[in-house]
Amino acid sequence: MLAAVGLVGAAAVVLGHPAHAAVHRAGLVIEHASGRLVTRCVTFVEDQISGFALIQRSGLSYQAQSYGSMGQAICQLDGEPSPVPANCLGTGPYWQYLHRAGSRWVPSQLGASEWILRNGDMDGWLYSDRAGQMLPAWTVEQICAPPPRPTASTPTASTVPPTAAPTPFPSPSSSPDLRTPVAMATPRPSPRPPSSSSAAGPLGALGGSLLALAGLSAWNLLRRGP
Amino acid sequence: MTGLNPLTWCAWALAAIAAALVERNPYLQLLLLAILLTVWIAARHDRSIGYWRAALALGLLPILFSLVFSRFGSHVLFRLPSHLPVIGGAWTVEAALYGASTGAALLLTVLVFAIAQSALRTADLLAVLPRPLYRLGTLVALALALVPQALASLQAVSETRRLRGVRAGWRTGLGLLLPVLLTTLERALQYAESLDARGFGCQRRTRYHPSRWGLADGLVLLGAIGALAATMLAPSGYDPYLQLAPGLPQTALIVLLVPLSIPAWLNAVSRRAAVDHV
Repeated sequence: MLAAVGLVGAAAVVLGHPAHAAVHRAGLVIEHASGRLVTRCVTFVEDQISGFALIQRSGLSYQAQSYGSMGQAICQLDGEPSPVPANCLGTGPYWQYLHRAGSRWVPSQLGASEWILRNGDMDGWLYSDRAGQMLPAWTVEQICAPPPRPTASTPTASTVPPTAAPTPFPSPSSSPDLRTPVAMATPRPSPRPPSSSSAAGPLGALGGSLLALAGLSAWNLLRRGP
Repeated sequence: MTGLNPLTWCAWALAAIAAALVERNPYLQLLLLAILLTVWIAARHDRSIGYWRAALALGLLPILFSLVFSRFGSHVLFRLPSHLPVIGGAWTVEAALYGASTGAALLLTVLVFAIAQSALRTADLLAVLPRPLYRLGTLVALALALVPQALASLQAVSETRRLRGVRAGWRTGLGLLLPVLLTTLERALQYAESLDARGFGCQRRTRYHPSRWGLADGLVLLGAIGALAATMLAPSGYDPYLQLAPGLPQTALIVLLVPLSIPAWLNAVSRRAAVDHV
C-alpha cells in the first residue's frame, strides 16, 4: 500500500503536481429510479472537497441550481430526470443525498456544497420520492479500483489515474467479484428497524430519566406545598 | 435554590439554550422538556409565570408557517388547487413535523429564559459584572427590567379596567397602550434612580449579599459543561423530509443531558435543611 502511494506520488510528479501532495480517494454511488447503479471513484490532492465538487469531478453530467446561502440543489444527475423540472426540484421524486457513516447510509443534513469529504469518505445519491430507502452497502475500497500492483518498471506509473480525475468503476462483467458482497435484488429490502437490543439502551436511559425527573418534580411540589 | 452563584446560573442557562436550540431529535426534545419543567418547578417563585400562552403560540406558529409555505414531502395530508397563489398544492405531514420540530426548539428556549428570569435577580447579575462595565450595567439592568415591568403594568392596568366594568377585548387594546407605556416609563425611571442611589455606576461599592462559590455551584457547572460539550460535539438531528420516523438518540447523549436537572436535585436535597433552620 505504501509502495502504491509512493508510485502515485511519482505519477503526481510526472504530471506536475507537488511531490508532497498525498492522493485521497472518495466514493460516489448513484442509484437511478430504475434501480441502475453507477459508481465513481474520485481521487483528489486536497485534504477535503465538498460533496458538490465530488459530483463535478466524477465526470457525471449534472444540472444544479443555486439556492443562495443554502447552497446548490441538484436538479439533474447523470441524465435523470429528463427534462429537468421547471422549478428544479419538481414535486415528485428527487435526488436524495446520503452519506456513508460507518457501516450504514445516513440521510444528509446538509446540501452537497456544504458537506465535506475527506479521504475514504463516500457519498450516495438516490433518485426516489420515498424516504428511508438505502443504497447498497459498499465500501470505498470496493468502488475504487484496487491500487495498481507496484512493479519495477517505471512505465506502469503512467497507468495510474491522474489526480483529480475520474476513475470509472470497472463494469460488473469485467470484475464480478466486486459485486458479490452486495445484495442486488431489484426491489431492495426496506431498511431494517433497529433491533431490540440496540434500541433498549437509549429507550431505557430515556424512560429511566423521565421517571426520575417526574419523581423529582413531584417531590419538589410536595415539599413546597400546593 | 437561590443559593447558587449568578454566574453558575448563567453557565447553566447557556448550556440549556444551546441544547434547546441544537438538539432536534424529538426524543431528546421530550427529555429536555422534562428537565426544564423539573428545574422550573424547583426554581419558580410563588407567582407563576404568566406568559406561557405566548410561549405556546411561539411553539405552534412554526407549524402553521411550515405547513402553509412548504410544498415538499411525500405524505400528503390534502391538496388545494394549484392555481391558488401561496397555499395551493400539497400540504404534507413532513412540513407540519418540521414546523413542530422548530416550534419545540423555540418553546424550550423560552422555557430556559423563564427559568433564568425567575432564578436570577437583576441586581445579582449586575453585581458580578466586571468593574469597567458598571456604567453599562445600569443600562443592562434597565433593559432587562423593562419587559417584566411592562408585563406587570399591563396586568395591573387591565385588572383596574376590568374592575371598572370595561370588557377586555381586542378593541380595548389601544386604550391600554398609553397607561401601560406611562407606567412602565415611570417605573423604569424609579428603578434607575434607586440604582443610582445605591451606588451602581460608582467605582467601588460594597456588597450586602456577597455571592460565594460552593459545592453546589461546582456540580451544576460540571453538568452544564458536560451537556454543552455533548451538544456541540454530537448534535442530534431530525429531518422529517428525509425520514418521517425519528431515530433513537445515542445513550451517551441522554446521559450527558440529564445533569442539566442538577439544580432541581439540589433543591430537593437542600430545602429540608432550609426549612429546619427557619
